[in-house]
Amino acid sequence: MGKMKILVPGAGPIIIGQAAEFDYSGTQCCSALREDGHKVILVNSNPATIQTDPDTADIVYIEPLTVESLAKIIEKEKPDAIIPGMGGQTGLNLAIGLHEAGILEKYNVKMLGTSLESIEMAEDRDLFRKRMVEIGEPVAESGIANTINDALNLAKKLNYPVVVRPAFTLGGTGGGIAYSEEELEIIAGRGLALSPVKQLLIEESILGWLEFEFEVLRDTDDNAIVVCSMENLDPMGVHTGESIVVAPALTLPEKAYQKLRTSALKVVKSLGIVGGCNVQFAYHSKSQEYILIEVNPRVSRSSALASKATGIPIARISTMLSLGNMLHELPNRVTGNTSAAFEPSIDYVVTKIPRWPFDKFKLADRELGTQMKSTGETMSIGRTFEESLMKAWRSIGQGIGYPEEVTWTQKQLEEKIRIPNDQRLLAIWAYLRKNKATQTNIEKICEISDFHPFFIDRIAKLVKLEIELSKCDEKIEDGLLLKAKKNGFGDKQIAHLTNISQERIRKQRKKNKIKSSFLIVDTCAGEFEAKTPYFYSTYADKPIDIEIGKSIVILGSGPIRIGQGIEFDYSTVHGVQAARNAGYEAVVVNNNPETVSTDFDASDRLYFEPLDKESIFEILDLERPYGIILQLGGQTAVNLASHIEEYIRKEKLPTKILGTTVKDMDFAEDRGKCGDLMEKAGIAMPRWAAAKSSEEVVQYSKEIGFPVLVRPSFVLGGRGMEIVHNSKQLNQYLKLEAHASPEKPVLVDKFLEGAIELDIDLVSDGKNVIIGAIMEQIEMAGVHSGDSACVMPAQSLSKKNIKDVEDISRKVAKILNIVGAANLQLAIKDDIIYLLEANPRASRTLPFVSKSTGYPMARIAVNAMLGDKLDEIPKTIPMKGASVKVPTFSWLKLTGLDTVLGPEMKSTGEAMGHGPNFGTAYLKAMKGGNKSLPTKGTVFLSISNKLKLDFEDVAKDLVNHGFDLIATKGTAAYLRKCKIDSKVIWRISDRKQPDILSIMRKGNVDLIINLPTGRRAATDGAQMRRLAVELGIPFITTLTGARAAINSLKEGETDYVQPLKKVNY
Amino acid sequence: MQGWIALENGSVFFGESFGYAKTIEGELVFNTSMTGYQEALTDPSYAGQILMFTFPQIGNYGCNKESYESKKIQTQACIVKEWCRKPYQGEMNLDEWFRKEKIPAIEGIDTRELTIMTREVGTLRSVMCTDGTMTPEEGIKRAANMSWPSEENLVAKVSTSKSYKEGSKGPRVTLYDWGVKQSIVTNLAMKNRVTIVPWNYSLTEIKKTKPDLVFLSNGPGDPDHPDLAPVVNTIKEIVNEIPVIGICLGHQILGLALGGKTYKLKYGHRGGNQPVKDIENEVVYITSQNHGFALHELPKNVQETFINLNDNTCEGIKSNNCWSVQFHPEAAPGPMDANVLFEKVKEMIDG
Repeated sequence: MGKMKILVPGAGPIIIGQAAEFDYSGTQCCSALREDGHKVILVNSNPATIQTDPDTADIVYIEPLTVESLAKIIEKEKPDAIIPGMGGQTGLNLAIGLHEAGILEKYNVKMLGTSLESIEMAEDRDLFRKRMVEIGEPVAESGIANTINDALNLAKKLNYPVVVRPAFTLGGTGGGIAYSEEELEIIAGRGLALSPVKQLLIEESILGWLEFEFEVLRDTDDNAIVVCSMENLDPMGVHTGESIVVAPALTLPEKAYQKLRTSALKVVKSLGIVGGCNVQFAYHSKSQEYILIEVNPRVSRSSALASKATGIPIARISTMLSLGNMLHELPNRVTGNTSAAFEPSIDYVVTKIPRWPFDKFKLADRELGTQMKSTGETMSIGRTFEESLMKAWRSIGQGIGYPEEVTWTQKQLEEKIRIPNDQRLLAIWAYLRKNKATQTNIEKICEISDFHPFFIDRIAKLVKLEIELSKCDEKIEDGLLLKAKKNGFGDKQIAHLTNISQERIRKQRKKNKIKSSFLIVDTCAGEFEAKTPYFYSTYADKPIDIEIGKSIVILGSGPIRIGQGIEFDYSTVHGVQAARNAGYEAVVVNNNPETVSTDFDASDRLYFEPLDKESIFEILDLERPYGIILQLGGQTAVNLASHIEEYIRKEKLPTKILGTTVKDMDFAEDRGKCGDLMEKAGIAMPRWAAAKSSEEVVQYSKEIGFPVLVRPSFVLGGRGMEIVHNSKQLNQYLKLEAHASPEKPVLVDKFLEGAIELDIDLVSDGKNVIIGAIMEQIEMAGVHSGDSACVMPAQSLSKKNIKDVEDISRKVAKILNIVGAANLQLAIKDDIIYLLEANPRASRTLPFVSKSTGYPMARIAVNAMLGDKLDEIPKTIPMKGASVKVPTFSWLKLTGLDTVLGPEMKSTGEAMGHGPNFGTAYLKAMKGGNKSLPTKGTVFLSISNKLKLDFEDVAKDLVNHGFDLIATKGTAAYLRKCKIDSKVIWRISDRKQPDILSIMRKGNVDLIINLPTGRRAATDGAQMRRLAVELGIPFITTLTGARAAINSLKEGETDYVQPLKKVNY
Repeated sequence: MQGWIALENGSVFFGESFGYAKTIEGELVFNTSMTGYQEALTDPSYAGQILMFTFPQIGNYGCNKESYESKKIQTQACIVKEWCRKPYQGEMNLDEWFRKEKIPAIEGIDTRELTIMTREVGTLRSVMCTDGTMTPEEGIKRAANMSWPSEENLVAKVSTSKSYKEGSKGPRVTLYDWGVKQSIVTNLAMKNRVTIVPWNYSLTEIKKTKPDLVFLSNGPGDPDHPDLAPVVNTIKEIVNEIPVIGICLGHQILGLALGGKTYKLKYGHRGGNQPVKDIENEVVYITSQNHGFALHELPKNVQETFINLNDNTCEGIKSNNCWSVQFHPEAAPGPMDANVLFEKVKEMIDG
């Protein structure tokens, strides 16, 4: 095959079910293609990806991932080929769409990798089933439903419960398990609405069977290998993305393992898949029967996990296979001199634990099922299941890093073990703890949960060790300490159980030479020499020699969660590049298997480890690095700063904390200290107070004056943050959300209602302060900046405003002695500029700023930390046109959650649009975030009294654009007064037809503008917004958002398509 | 109680003993399969060897009667990082099985370190002690002075003493038992009438079984062992008259009979993930392997048919009226990819 121009579509914004794994696979794909001499055109609407860096591809488009927009790019770039399998389900669906629209044929674009026929056969439930029956592979009894009635009839034959799987959706969206007709009606209705082909598979339930996955690679000559087997701890019924998973499979006997392996290869060959793919099985251990569940004909979250678990670069090999290479023609990059046609053998155990957002979303339904709710995951490596599980517990970054004590009753525990939910593992542990981990208990848990006893037995062993440790009081025998460490217990947990400080535990360990040994991930269990710079720690075995030069350690950000997403991985990877360019060995510590930063190719050394004190100290002991960077990994790294500083000092390590000092970071983070500093410098901050008790919260709120913003201190993504308008709301908040205490005070801030909010990203070398961007929030003040659409440059500021904002930003950076990156949040109200917050670290918006301006801000920041002077860089980074970032939400996946925006962050990802003006950029960003605005049709308006006055102009604009309006009584009456026509419909609470719900269901609404006020939106609104989510009707919940939408309809150009520009810095 | 393994290079590794209390000698080898411990331990090709598993948690699914590849455990001993006390599957756990079979075992050893040592210096003669009857220092001395297990005629030890028959239909296949795995017998007996014969059957004795094809089994030890020279000569004669197929040791002995040479690999191939390529049609099989010796320096009339993709060693040959493979198409333990080769038995008979 000659050298080609190849189009690679990415996966778009991060949503639940489609996360950073496609940045990882897409980036690896681009690098493989370019190394092979091809020219790569990359399209993705997600600015936070490494994939969309100008260095990753030859030409980068940050454009919506729609058939329409890709058609324009194809027309312009005339690529020879397209690789659809790297952009998740989005990529596949796009390729299918382009093919069906005749675009691929028209421009003679060849599809590389798995053919469309094969994709269809794997994804169309009916075709897949038929094919499997043909080749004699067992599948569950099932049928295809195209209507709710079909579904009900099928279920009668199959018996309840039945599993509902919509065709062609990702992360199991819209699927579920129905136990009754009523439930089936709801689930089937939702599933039909979501399936792009309006097709459901209704399947007999095999609840309670074990679930296994095989990750397969196949070339066009039918050579195929299994990269990795994976075993789900949670039995069937829980989506594999929601399950705790171990690799390799630990309980499958040889014969069963080979049976499933043979089946996986047979299935993949019969479907004709080229490259990576994932085959899922249900397995009944007593009868040794198995059933094929499904095949993902592309790289996936599981392949990212399998890649990190084994060291095999699945996406890279998949890409090479798509180009027509054979497996045996490719090298094993880990050993360097053996073949890629090789099945890894590993000599450790990998555990993956999902990360769920329920700590933020207290109202969301915590039950787990066939659709995903987790936002990310962590992976850990240990020599045994025990060590690996305990390390995963430390890595997840939620809770305290080990099984906490709970007060659940026996009945509650059993419930939490029986019904899948995010606390199941903790409940199993707590149940065993409460009942002394006897054999009867182990059996009881297996009986009610269907977990394999192998795992429960091992957990029971750990619980027994926990009980043994808890009998120690301020003293622990060396032997017991070693045993605990070999079983993966963290120092913190041991300290807690034995009433000894963590520092003393560490000292006792070191005295006894109990320290982390770092072993290598080599694909071959030591059979061949490998020089992979990919390490994991264990206390179970002896260390190996690791060659270490002058290094810089960069802390990553761990599992993806709301508020700390892929943006921080972007900055981490840029930090690595900058450190390498400056001549250092760049070392990454991270534990997220989905990311680019945990690709061993991405750094000089990768430590796949928990991001806690213990593991970072162990790495510092080994590396004795020149420097450590804490600014790039989000709040996780910042929270460790003072501990790391203290450790470096006490251990007399030669390590510098690069960039802003820990003392200054603390000044910025601590409201009191920061407030004092700013007051002295004459910079306004909203009035505030830190309340150490609930009484104080009430008192301070009154003194400061409602509305106030209340929140717990030291949290990310606005967790537990609310705007409170009166005492009644405040009391409710205190009851439900936060208990103020002297250790964990609640912050009370004056809320600047109606202010313009700004986000400023800057980089400083201590002398020059470079303003990267002033971004203006599009949603009104009070909406979390991560959930607000924002535009750069700011649209509604005067020249003077801009100058003042820049001056103040520079002043703040200097006061806080920022070296490296920082993010400021400012507000302008009544011409006064307030500093709301200063974050002494790389922000969520840094990649967006970098993509909009072409300046790699994170790299510039690291250069500044390394002592570079930024004299050559413009003091204010220039940009052309406008860029808009819009958040994307995963409402569909999180049932029970209201979709109205507020100070607590709810979005999971973001999309960017760029254009010559705001309107164009906004339209593009909305499309990129899958929220296309309609250009005609009917708009439903429901506006709270408080906002009606301000809404008049928006309503008029809508009419002028030719939209028909419908509204509830109050809103319609107001519109009438303004001489605007609208059709009146009933409120939901009137319980009369037609109400908005029935009109929506009939498909007669194209856009909803619902502007509620007050703390919790009324049930009417919530019900309607939820239905809008399920039916895919765009909705706007803020006035400013509505204005932006109207403006974009006025001035947006729909034909503008330009690749990203790159500044040679 | 504490157990240890002492190596000829002076290293000693301490662990916790389990299984049978005993002191034994053997050649330490490692296997990288993550499952299939029972099949491996009962494979006669491991005779004289101490088998160490690189996967750290062994015994997870217990032990049962169905997974024997011969009548007993064939290794001298077993080394694991950790064994599973309560497998919740199978009839017994590893400890119970080893006690029953009188096999000593150790856990808690840094198996990765020992694997890398083996990879770097080659397989080592070793002494393992789980009964406290020897000091580690004595163990090192004994390991350095002991003879290699392959210096003994291991084939004679593991072969059947009497011929017997399996399978009731199809052509007649006579199978030399040089330590044959049950799965080879089972695979052949599905479509053939198989006569399994002792290791040293002469041409005359073989002819009495009226074979349509002679099958050479796997087995332990050095193919170039002086005691096997008469066997090599017999095979030379057989090849001229009857079609021959060989696996593993059978492949090596066929190679010797055809004029090739064998040599000892530094640390062998033992695992279920060895990639081999069919040279003719470029098909790749992931194969099960267990061998410490390999074939090379083939004469011109012998064609190499398979190579190992990791180290390019010879994995298969063919010549007039015969062919053989170094890997194990019968798997057990390991992947079934190459099982298709058994279908070629009939082709061979039909000419």
